[in-house]
Amino acid sequence: MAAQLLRVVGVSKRFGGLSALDDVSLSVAQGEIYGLIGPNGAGKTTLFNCLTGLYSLSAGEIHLGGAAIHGHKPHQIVAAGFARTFQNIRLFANMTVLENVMVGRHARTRAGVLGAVLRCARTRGEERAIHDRSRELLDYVGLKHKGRGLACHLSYGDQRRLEIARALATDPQLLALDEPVAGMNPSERREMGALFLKLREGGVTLLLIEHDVKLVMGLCDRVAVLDYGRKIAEGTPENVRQDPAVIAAYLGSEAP
Amino acid sequence: MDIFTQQLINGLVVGSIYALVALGYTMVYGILELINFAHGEVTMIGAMVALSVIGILMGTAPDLPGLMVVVAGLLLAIPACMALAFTIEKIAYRPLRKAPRLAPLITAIGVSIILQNLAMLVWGRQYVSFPAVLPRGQHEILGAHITDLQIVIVVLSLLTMAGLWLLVERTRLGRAMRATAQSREVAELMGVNVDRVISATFVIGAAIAALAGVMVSAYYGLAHYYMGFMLGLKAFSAAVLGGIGNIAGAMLGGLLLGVIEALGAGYIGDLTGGFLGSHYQDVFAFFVLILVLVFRPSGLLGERVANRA
Repeated sequence: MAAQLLRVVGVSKRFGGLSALDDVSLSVAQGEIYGLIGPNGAGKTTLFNCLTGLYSLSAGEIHLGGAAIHGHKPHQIVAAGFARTFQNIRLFANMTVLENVMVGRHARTRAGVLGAVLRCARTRGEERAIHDRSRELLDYVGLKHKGRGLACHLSYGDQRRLEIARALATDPQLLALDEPVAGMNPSERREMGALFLKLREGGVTLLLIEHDVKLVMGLCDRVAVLDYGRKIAEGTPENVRQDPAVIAAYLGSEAP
Repeated sequence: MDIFTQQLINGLVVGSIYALVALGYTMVYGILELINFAHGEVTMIGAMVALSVIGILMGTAPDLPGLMVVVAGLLLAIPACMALAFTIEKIAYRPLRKAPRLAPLITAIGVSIILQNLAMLVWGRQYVSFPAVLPRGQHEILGAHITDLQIVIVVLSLLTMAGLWLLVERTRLGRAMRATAQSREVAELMGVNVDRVISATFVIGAAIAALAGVMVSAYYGLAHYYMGFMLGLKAFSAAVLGGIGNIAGAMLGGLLLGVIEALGAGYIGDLTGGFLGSHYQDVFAFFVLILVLVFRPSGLLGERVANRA
């Protein structure tokens, strides 16, 4: 089996008396598409927020590529190679499509105030490289000719694509997608599925939260199921689909 | 002499200084939604540091050309203000980043009072005069007078604004600033070191404020530990007039406010039959502020708050 890229060990997150995540452990292998499913309120997005440094953990550890990332600030986690998209699209609405992607290059570039003021050759070269790479990424996700418009003028599906391009601009090893096909029609969903496979071929490991069970089952190598903040199952899609605990969680009945 | 043209020129000169100070207010507000009331005092410190440097240089090297002495003062005032603003942000505002919005606002007022009193201790209560070292050429234009200093102030201000515009629109740092202004959280999740961007915003605003402080003291020929208060309030009014948080708005608001104030001061005597004199000029800035807050709270170029997010 390939090397472990992400290792989550015993992660818990409590908000006051509410336990949103309870001792969740999982690991994602390099090059895998790993699905995270579960009923509404199961703690999927909370787990994402813990992974990306938005929430501090109540307990547990998170390692990315062998290095601990829990307790780090979000921008440091991005620098370590972990990028994400959002369930409710959160673009920089008043910036152009291209600029949104260019912001994503921030973590991989250096020019500061001084370079900007002096406009030295290195700064200009870097700016050009940011520009070119961002155009490439727009092309890659299928937004080739839409770079100049404002992000808020894109169609819904294109906004989802832009979020992925912006996340890719940070050169992630692991890309976490929070319900990337929510609200899309079947043909758009198929296109996104193809994009995910293309991403994996490009060497990016994917962590996918999704409600669309069919998409998850068709795409993912392994799946974990969360329910009330606990991991109740993990394995290949076929195994998980037949797991009585999973069926109970989704159908709301006791396992036979 | 044509009063209208003359006051228009005077207004544009003062207005461009207001615009520079207003930029500092608006940039910080754009990113933190904090009204940094200490910004006027940073401007004052800039003027005071420059004047001290000028005084020392004139005492030790009286043969230096006046322009060089003033430039040296400016070049030391700028880093001094940058360091000051960096420190203020770090020790006074950053610990309150997650506090309710009123807390940093009150802290800002506190910082402003502290700086005023420190300046009073260091530089004294009396007016410090700006030595007459700058060339005093004067030109006639459309029946009005314009001095070399006025031309330099307007040109330097416009260049500074153009430079800032390029910085914000065309550079990596500027993009990070705009992204942070739209959503601090998302910017951070896209790899932007938000703390550093916020520091940079304060520092850039302070550098511009130092320039404005030197200009205003050179223009009026004096500086005073309390000068930052009124200047800050007017620049804040200018920022609100243009639409606070909006950089182009601060520039426009500053120039407009300067012109309104100058024209008001020029004509108030005639309009009230001599009852009110030009020393009432300060009234106009705040009259404009009240009108804007009542009729267009989002300012001339500002968007409605609901459209932000």
